[in-house]
Amino acid sequence: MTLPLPVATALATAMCADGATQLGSRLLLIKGRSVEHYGLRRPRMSADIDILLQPVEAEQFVYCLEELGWKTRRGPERPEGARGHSVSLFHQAWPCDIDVHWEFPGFLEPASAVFDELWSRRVTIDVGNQPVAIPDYEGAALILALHSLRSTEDQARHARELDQLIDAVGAQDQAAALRALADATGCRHTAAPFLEQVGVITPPLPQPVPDALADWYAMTEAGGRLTAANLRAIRRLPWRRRPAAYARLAWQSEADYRLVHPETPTGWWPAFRGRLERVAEGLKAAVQARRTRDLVAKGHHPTRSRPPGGTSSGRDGEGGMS
Amino acid sequence: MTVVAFAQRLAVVRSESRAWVLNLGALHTEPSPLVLEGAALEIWDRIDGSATVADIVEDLAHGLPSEAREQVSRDVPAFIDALVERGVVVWGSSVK
Repeated sequence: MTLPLPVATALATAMCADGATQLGSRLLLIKGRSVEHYGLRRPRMSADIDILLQPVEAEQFVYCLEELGWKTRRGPERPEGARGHSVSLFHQAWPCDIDVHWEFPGFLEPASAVFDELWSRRVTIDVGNQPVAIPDYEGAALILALHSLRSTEDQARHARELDQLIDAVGAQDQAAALRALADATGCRHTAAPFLEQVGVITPPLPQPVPDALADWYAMTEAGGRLTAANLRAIRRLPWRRRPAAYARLAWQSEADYRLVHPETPTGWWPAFRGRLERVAEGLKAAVQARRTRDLVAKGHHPTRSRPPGGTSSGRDGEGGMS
Repeated sequence: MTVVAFAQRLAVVRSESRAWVLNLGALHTEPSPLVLEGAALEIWDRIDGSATVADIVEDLAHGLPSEAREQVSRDVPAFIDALVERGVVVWGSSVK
Protein backbone atom coordinates (compact mmCIF):
# COMPACT_ATOMS: atom_id res chain seq x y z
CA MET A 1 0.00 0.00 0.00
CA THR A 2 1.36 3.41 -0.99
CA LEU A 3 2.23 5.64 1.89
CA PRO A 4 0.26 8.92 1.58
CA LEU A 5 2.57 11.93 1.39
CA PRO A 6 1.28 13.75 4.52
CA VAL A 7 1.64 10.51 6.50
CA ALA A 8 5.12 9.92 5.13
CA THR A 9 6.33 13.42 6.00
CA ALA A 10 4.95 13.14 9.54
CA LEU A 11 6.55 9.73 10.11
CA ALA A 12 9.84 10.81 8.55
CA THR A 13 9.87 13.88 10.79
CA ALA A 14 9.26 11.75 13.87
CA MET A 15 11.94 9.31 12.72
CA CYS A 16 14.52 12.07 12.27
CA ALA A 17 13.71 13.72 15.59
CA ASP A 18 13.99 10.41 17.43
CA GLY A 19 17.15 9.50 15.52
CA ALA A 20 18.82 12.76 16.51
CA THR A 21 17.90 12.16 20.14
CA GLN A 22 19.42 8.68 19.99
CA LEU A 23 22.61 10.13 18.50
CA GLY A 24 22.75 12.88 21.10
CA SER A 25 22.39 15.48 18.33
CA ARG A 26 20.16 18.52 18.22
CA LEU A 27 17.73 18.82 15.34
CA LEU A 28 15.30 21.54 14.30
CA LEU A 29 12.46 20.97 11.88
CA ILE A 30 12.39 24.00 9.59
CA LYS A 31 10.02 25.29 6.90
CA GLY A 32 6.94 23.08 6.26
CA ARG A 33 5.12 22.19 9.46
CA SER A 34 7.18 24.60 11.55
CA VAL A 35 5.94 27.68 9.68
CA GLU A 36 2.42 26.29 9.38
CA HIS A 37 2.42 25.80 13.16
CA TYR A 38 2.54 29.59 13.55
CA GLY A 39 0.16 30.30 10.68
CA LEU A 40 2.99 31.94 8.72
CA ARG A 41 2.12 30.00 5.58
CA ARG A 42 -1.05 28.37 4.35
CA PRO A 43 -0.83 24.58 4.72
CA ARG A 44 0.23 22.85 1.54
CA MET A 45 1.43 19.41 0.63
CA SER A 46 5.21 19.12 0.86
CA ALA A 47 7.17 16.44 -0.91
CA ASP A 48 10.02 16.68 1.57
CA ILE A 49 10.91 17.58 5.12
CA ASP A 50 13.64 20.03 6.00
CA ILE A 51 15.77 19.62 9.08
CA LEU A 52 18.64 21.72 10.37
CA LEU A 53 21.52 20.30 12.40
CA GLN A 54 24.78 21.59 13.78
CA PRO A 55 27.31 21.44 10.92
CA VAL A 56 29.53 19.03 12.84
CA GLU A 57 26.63 16.67 13.51
CA ALA A 58 25.01 16.65 10.08
CA GLU A 59 27.47 14.25 8.47
CA GLN A 60 26.94 11.55 11.08
CA PHE A 61 23.19 12.02 10.84
CA VAL A 62 23.27 11.56 7.07
CA TYR A 63 25.42 8.48 7.52
CA CYS A 64 22.82 6.99 9.88
CA LEU A 65 20.03 7.65 7.37
CA GLU A 66 22.13 5.94 4.70
CA GLU A 67 22.50 2.96 7.03
CA LEU A 68 18.69 2.76 7.02
CA GLY A 69 18.53 2.62 3.24
CA TRP A 70 18.15 6.34 2.47
CA LYS A 71 20.27 7.44 -0.48
CA THR A 72 21.76 10.82 -1.26
CA ARG A 73 20.03 12.41 -4.21
CA ARG A 74 22.70 13.42 -6.67
CA GLY A 75 22.59 17.12 -7.51
CA PRO A 76 24.21 19.03 -10.35
CA GLU A 77 27.98 19.29 -10.36
CA ARG A 78 29.45 21.92 -8.07
CA PRO A 79 32.70 23.81 -8.42
CA GLU A 80 35.66 22.26 -6.68
CA GLY A 81 35.43 22.81 -2.92
CA ALA A 82 31.76 23.89 -2.86
CA ARG A 83 30.06 22.01 -0.08
CA GLY A 84 26.58 23.46 -0.41
CA HIS A 85 24.28 23.91 2.52
CA SER A 86 22.15 20.77 2.46
CA VAL A 87 21.72 17.31 1.02
CA SER A 88 18.53 15.53 -0.07
CA LEU A 89 17.96 11.89 0.71
CA PHE A 90 15.37 9.54 -0.75
CA HIS A 91 14.23 6.00 0.00
CA GLN A 92 12.52 3.67 -2.46
CA ALA A 93 9.77 2.83 0.05
CA TRP A 94 9.06 6.45 0.99
CA PRO A 95 7.37 9.08 -1.18
CA CYS A 96 9.10 12.02 0.52
CA ASP A 97 12.68 13.28 0.61
CA ILE A 98 14.57 14.30 3.73
CA ASP A 99 16.56 17.50 3.23
CA VAL A 100 19.34 17.70 5.80
CA HIS A 101 20.66 21.26 6.19
CA TRP A 102 23.82 22.22 8.05
CA GLU A 103 23.48 25.89 7.26
CA PHE A 104 20.71 28.09 5.97
CA PRO A 105 21.48 30.60 3.20
CA GLY A 106 20.97 34.20 4.25
CA PHE A 107 22.06 33.82 7.85
CA LEU A 108 25.56 35.26 7.59
CA GLU A 109 26.82 34.53 11.10
CA PRO A 110 28.71 31.21 11.39
CA ALA A 111 26.30 28.30 10.87
CA SER A 112 27.09 26.84 14.27
CA ALA A 113 26.29 30.13 16.07
CA VAL A 114 23.08 30.50 14.06
CA PHE A 115 22.01 27.00 15.03
CA ASP A 116 22.77 27.67 18.71
CA GLU A 117 20.69 30.84 18.62
CA LEU A 118 17.74 29.16 16.91
CA TRP A 119 18.02 26.17 19.23
CA SER A 120 18.08 28.31 22.36
CA ARG A 121 14.66 29.67 21.37
CA ARG A 122 13.14 26.38 20.19
CA VAL A 123 9.56 25.29 20.69
CA THR A 124 8.52 21.64 20.87
CA ILE A 125 5.55 20.32 18.91
CA ASP A 126 4.16 16.83 18.44
CA VAL A 127 4.59 15.26 15.02
CA GLY A 128 3.71 11.61 14.50
CA ASN A 129 3.49 11.05 18.24
CA GLN A 130 7.05 12.29 18.83
CA PRO A 131 8.35 15.57 20.29
CA VAL A 132 9.95 17.63 17.54
CA ALA A 133 11.89 20.88 18.07
CA ILE A 134 11.11 23.79 15.76
CA PRO A 135 12.38 27.40 15.74
CA ASP A 136 10.30 29.94 17.64
CA TYR A 137 7.97 32.35 15.86
CA GLU A 138 10.69 34.81 14.89
CA GLY A 139 13.10 32.07 13.83
CA ALA A 140 10.46 30.39 11.66
CA ALA A 141 9.53 33.75 10.10
CA LEU A 142 13.14 34.65 9.25
CA ILE A 143 13.83 31.22 7.76
CA LEU A 144 10.73 31.43 5.57
CA ALA A 145 11.59 35.00 4.57
CA LEU A 146 15.14 34.08 3.55
CA HIS A 147 13.91 31.00 1.71
CA SER A 148 11.36 33.06 -0.23
CA LEU A 149 13.75 35.92 -0.93
CA ARG A 150 16.43 33.62 -2.27
CA SER A 151 14.43 32.96 -5.41
CA THR A 152 11.51 35.37 -5.31
CA GLU A 153 12.10 36.64 -8.81
CA ASP A 154 11.91 33.21 -10.34
CA GLN A 155 9.25 31.50 -8.35
CA ALA A 156 5.68 32.70 -8.13
CA ARG A 157 5.00 30.49 -5.13
CA HIS A 158 7.84 31.99 -3.11
CA ALA A 159 6.62 35.47 -3.93
CA ARG A 160 3.12 34.56 -2.71
CA GLU A 161 4.52 33.01 0.43
CA LEU A 162 6.55 36.13 1.17
CA ASP A 163 3.42 38.26 0.82
CA GLN A 164 1.51 35.92 3.14
CA LEU A 165 4.35 36.04 5.63
CA ILE A 166 4.43 39.83 5.61
CA ASP A 167 0.66 39.91 6.17
CA ALA A 168 0.87 37.39 9.02
CA VAL A 169 3.83 38.97 10.82
CA GLY A 170 2.69 42.51 10.10
CA ALA A 171 -0.45 41.84 12.10
CA GLN A 172 1.68 41.10 15.16
CA ASP A 173 3.96 43.49 17.00
CA GLN A 174 7.16 41.53 16.58
CA ALA A 175 9.58 44.12 15.19
CA ALA A 176 11.85 44.28 18.24
CA ALA A 177 12.07 40.51 18.61
CA LEU A 178 12.70 40.04 14.89
CA ARG A 179 15.40 42.71 14.89
CA ALA A 180 17.15 41.06 17.84
CA LEU A 181 17.17 37.64 16.20
CA ALA A 182 18.17 39.10 12.82
CA ASP A 183 21.13 40.82 14.53
CA ALA A 184 22.15 37.63 16.31
CA THR A 185 22.03 35.53 13.15
CA GLY A 186 23.35 38.07 10.67
CA CYS A 187 20.35 38.59 8.41
CA ARG A 188 19.47 42.27 8.93
CA HIS A 189 20.49 43.00 5.34
CA THR A 190 19.69 39.70 3.65
CA ALA A 191 16.15 39.66 5.07
CA ALA A 192 15.71 43.43 4.68
CA PRO A 193 12.91 43.28 2.06
CA PHE A 194 10.86 41.33 4.61
CA LEU A 195 12.02 43.09 7.77
CA GLU A 196 11.33 46.56 6.39
CA GLN A 197 7.76 45.55 5.63
CA VAL A 198 7.19 44.56 9.25
CA GLY A 199 8.74 47.63 10.80
CA VAL A 200 12.44 46.81 11.15
CA ILE A 201 14.66 49.53 9.69
CA THR A 202 17.66 48.36 7.69
CA PRO A 203 21.00 49.78 8.86
CA PRO A 204 23.45 51.21 6.31
CA LEU A 205 25.57 48.66 4.51
CA PRO A 206 28.84 47.93 6.30
CA GLN A 207 31.91 49.14 4.40
CA PRO A 208 33.63 47.32 2.94
CA VAL A 209 30.70 45.02 2.19
CA PRO A 210 31.52 41.51 3.44
CA ASP A 211 31.91 38.92 0.68
CA ALA A 212 29.09 36.80 2.10
CA LEU A 213 26.66 39.69 1.86
CA ALA A 214 27.82 40.64 -1.64
CA ASP A 215 27.36 36.98 -2.66
CA TRP A 216 23.83 37.01 -1.27
CA TYR A 217 22.90 40.05 -3.34
CA ALA A 218 24.54 38.59 -6.42
CA MET A 219 22.68 35.33 -5.90
CA THR A 220 19.25 36.85 -5.28
CA GLU A 221 19.56 39.39 -8.09
CA ALA A 222 20.53 36.56 -10.42
CA GLY A 223 17.18 34.95 -9.58
CA GLY A 224 18.61 31.82 -8.02
CA ARG A 225 20.78 30.88 -11.02
CA LEU A 226 23.88 31.26 -8.88
CA THR A 227 24.38 30.09 -5.34
CA ALA A 228 26.48 31.55 -2.58
CA ALA A 229 28.30 28.25 -2.12
CA ASN A 230 29.31 28.15 -5.79
CA LEU A 231 30.41 31.79 -5.81
CA ARG A 232 32.39 31.24 -2.61
CA ALA A 233 34.07 28.13 -3.98
CA ILE A 234 35.02 29.77 -7.28
CA ARG A 235 36.43 32.79 -5.46
CA ARG A 236 38.74 30.51 -3.51
CA LEU A 237 40.24 29.14 -6.73
CA PRO A 238 43.36 30.73 -8.25
CA TRP A 239 42.49 33.34 -10.90
CA ARG A 240 43.69 31.19 -13.76
CA ARG A 241 41.24 28.39 -12.85
CA ARG A 242 38.18 30.56 -12.39
CA PRO A 243 37.08 30.86 -16.06
CA ALA A 244 37.02 27.08 -16.42
CA ALA A 245 35.06 26.74 -13.17
CA TYR A 246 32.47 29.27 -14.38
CA ALA A 247 32.28 27.50 -17.72
CA ARG A 248 31.73 24.10 -16.08
CA LEU A 249 29.00 25.62 -13.93
CA ALA A 250 27.25 27.10 -16.96
CA TRP A 251 27.76 24.20 -19.38
CA GLN A 252 26.24 21.30 -17.52
CA SER A 253 26.59 17.71 -18.56
CA GLU A 254 23.44 16.28 -20.13
CA ALA A 255 22.95 14.06 -17.06
CA ASP A 256 23.15 17.05 -14.72
CA TYR A 257 20.78 19.05 -16.91
CA ARG A 258 18.23 16.25 -16.89
CA LEU A 259 18.47 16.01 -13.10
CA VAL A 260 17.22 19.57 -12.78
CA HIS A 261 14.88 19.34 -15.79
CA PRO A 262 13.41 15.84 -15.76
CA GLU A 263 10.59 17.09 -18.04
CA THR A 264 13.04 17.46 -20.96
CA PRO A 265 12.01 15.17 -23.85
CA THR A 266 14.34 12.31 -24.68
CA GLY A 267 16.99 12.71 -27.37
CA TRP A 268 20.13 14.78 -27.50
CA TRP A 269 18.66 17.89 -29.17
CA PRO A 270 16.13 19.01 -26.48
CA ALA A 271 18.77 18.66 -23.77
CA PHE A 272 21.44 20.36 -25.90
CA ARG A 273 19.11 23.29 -26.63
CA GLY A 274 18.20 23.56 -22.95
CA ARG A 275 21.87 23.54 -21.96
CA LEU A 276 22.58 26.31 -24.49
CA GLU A 277 19.72 28.38 -23.08
CA ARG A 278 21.15 27.77 -19.64
CA VAL A 279 24.53 29.15 -20.72
CA ALA A 280 22.78 32.29 -22.01
CA GLU A 281 20.89 32.62 -18.72
CA GLY A 282 24.11 31.99 -16.82
CA LEU A 283 25.88 34.78 -18.70
CA LYS A 284 23.00 37.14 -17.96
CA ALA A 285 23.11 36.10 -14.31
CA ALA A 286 26.87 36.62 -14.14
CA VAL A 287 26.56 40.11 -15.63
CA GLN A 288 23.74 40.90 -13.19
CA ALA A 289 25.81 39.52 -10.32
CA ARG A 290 28.81 41.64 -11.31
CA ARG A 291 26.60 44.74 -11.58
CA THR A 292 25.08 43.98 -8.18
CA ARG A 293 28.46 43.54 -6.56
CA ASP A 294 29.58 46.90 -7.99
CA LEU A 295 26.42 48.60 -6.69
CA VAL A 296 26.85 47.05 -3.27
CA ALA A 297 30.51 48.05 -3.14
CA LYS A 298 29.36 51.65 -3.62
CA GLY A 299 27.03 51.34 -0.63
CA HIS A 300 23.74 50.86 -2.50
CA HIS A 301 21.21 48.45 -1.10
CA PRO A 302 20.11 46.50 -4.18
CA THR A 303 17.02 44.86 -2.76
CA ARG A 304 15.66 47.84 -0.83
CA SER A 305 13.48 49.05 -3.65
CA ARG A 306 12.11 45.64 -4.58
CA PRO A 307 8.39 45.43 -3.86
CA PRO A 308 7.18 42.42 -1.92
CA GLY A 309 6.16 39.73 -4.33
CA GLY A 310 8.61 40.86 -6.97
CA THR A 311 8.03 39.59 -10.46
CA SER A 312 7.84 35.99 -11.39
CA SER A 313 8.36 33.85 -14.40
CA GLY A 314 7.26 30.77 -12.49
CA ARG A 315 10.11 28.48 -13.40
CA ASP A 316 10.58 26.16 -10.46
CA GLY A 317 13.65 24.09 -9.92
CA GLU A 318 16.30 26.19 -11.58
CA GLY A 319 17.75 27.07 -8.23
CA GLY A 320 18.64 23.47 -7.52
CA MET A 321 22.35 24.10 -7.23
CA SER A 322 22.54 24.29 -3.47
CA MET B 1 -2.07 -9.23 35.46
CA THR B 2 -0.36 -9.11 32.07
CA VAL B 3 -1.48 -6.09 30.15
CA VAL B 4 -0.77 -4.94 26.62
CA ALA B 5 1.09 -1.66 26.13
CA PHE B 6 2.65 0.28 23.29
CA ALA B 7 6.40 0.12 22.80
CA GLN B 8 8.19 3.31 23.79
CA ARG B 9 9.62 4.56 20.52
CA LEU B 10 6.72 4.58 18.10
CA ALA B 11 5.83 7.12 15.45
CA VAL B 12 2.11 6.98 14.84
CA VAL B 13 -0.12 8.82 12.38
CA ARG B 14 -3.88 8.35 12.52
CA SER B 15 -6.64 8.99 10.05
CA GLU B 16 -10.26 8.11 10.65
CA SER B 17 -9.94 4.63 9.22
CA ARG B 18 -6.22 3.84 9.38
CA ALA B 19 -3.16 4.05 11.57
CA TRP B 20 0.42 3.99 10.33
CA VAL B 21 2.87 2.79 12.95
CA LEU B 22 6.64 3.00 12.61
CA ASN B 23 8.77 1.25 15.19
CA LEU B 24 11.63 3.70 15.66
CA GLY B 25 13.58 1.16 17.68
CA ALA B 26 13.65 -1.39 14.85
CA LEU B 27 14.19 0.63 11.68
CA HIS B 28 17.01 -1.62 10.49
CA THR B 29 14.66 -4.59 10.29
CA GLU B 30 11.34 -2.77 9.73
CA PRO B 31 12.10 0.36 7.70
CA SER B 32 8.49 0.86 6.57
CA PRO B 33 5.45 1.58 8.71
CA LEU B 34 2.81 -0.96 9.63
CA VAL B 35 -0.63 -0.04 8.30
CA LEU B 36 -3.59 -0.91 10.49
CA GLU B 37 -7.21 -0.77 9.41
CA GLY B 38 -10.51 -2.55 10.02
CA ALA B 39 -10.39 -5.14 12.80
CA ALA B 40 -6.66 -4.53 13.33
CA LEU B 41 -7.39 -0.88 14.07
CA GLU B 42 -10.22 -1.86 16.42
CA ILE B 43 -7.75 -3.93 18.43
CA TRP B 44 -5.04 -1.25 18.29
CA ASP B 45 -7.46 1.35 19.64
CA ARG B 46 -8.12 -0.80 22.72
CA ILE B 47 -4.47 -1.05 23.71
CA ASP B 48 -3.96 1.45 26.48
CA GLY B 49 -1.41 -0.03 28.88
CA SER B 50 -4.07 -1.21 31.29
CA ALA B 51 -6.20 -3.66 29.29
CA THR B 52 -5.31 -7.35 29.15
CA VAL B 53 -5.82 -9.52 26.07
CA ALA B 54 -8.92 -10.93 27.76
CA ASP B 55 -10.25 -7.41 28.32
CA ILE B 56 -9.81 -6.56 24.65
CA VAL B 57 -11.44 -9.81 23.54
CA GLU B 58 -14.38 -9.23 25.85
CA ASP B 59 -14.84 -5.67 24.69
CA LEU B 60 -14.75 -6.60 21.01
CA ALA B 61 -16.90 -9.71 21.39
CA HIS B 62 -19.56 -8.04 23.49
CA GLY B 63 -22.97 -8.57 21.93
CA LEU B 64 -21.73 -10.79 19.11
CA PRO B 65 -23.23 -14.21 18.35
CA SER B 66 -21.29 -17.13 19.81
CA GLU B 67 -19.62 -18.13 16.57
CA ALA B 68 -18.26 -14.63 16.06
CA ARG B 69 -17.17 -14.48 19.72
CA GLU B 70 -15.11 -17.60 19.18
CA GLN B 71 -13.54 -16.06 16.13
CA VAL B 72 -12.66 -12.90 18.08
CA SER B 73 -11.20 -14.92 20.94
CA ARG B 74 -8.89 -16.70 18.45
CA ASP B 75 -7.95 -13.71 16.29
CA VAL B 76 -7.23 -11.09 18.93
CA PRO B 77 -4.50 -12.97 20.83
CA ALA B 78 -2.90 -14.03 17.54
CA PHE B 79 -2.87 -10.45 16.27
CA ILE B 80 -1.47 -9.10 19.52
CA ASP B 81 1.25 -11.76 19.44
CA ALA B 82 2.14 -10.55 15.93
CA LEU B 83 2.33 -6.95 17.16
CA VAL B 84 4.58 -8.04 20.03
CA GLU B 85 6.78 -9.90 17.56
CA ARG B 86 7.11 -6.73 15.47
CA GLY B 87 8.07 -4.85 18.60
CA VAL B 88 5.30 -2.26 18.46
CA VAL B 89 3.51 -3.68 21.48
CA VAL B 90 4.96 -5.02 24.71
CA TRP B 91 3.67 -7.04 27.59
CA GLY B 92 3.44 -5.20 30.87
CA SER B 93 2.15 -5.81 34.33
CA SER B 94 -0.53 -3.98 36.19
CA VAL B 95 -2.06 -4.26 39.64
CA LYS B 96 -5.70 -4.88 38.91
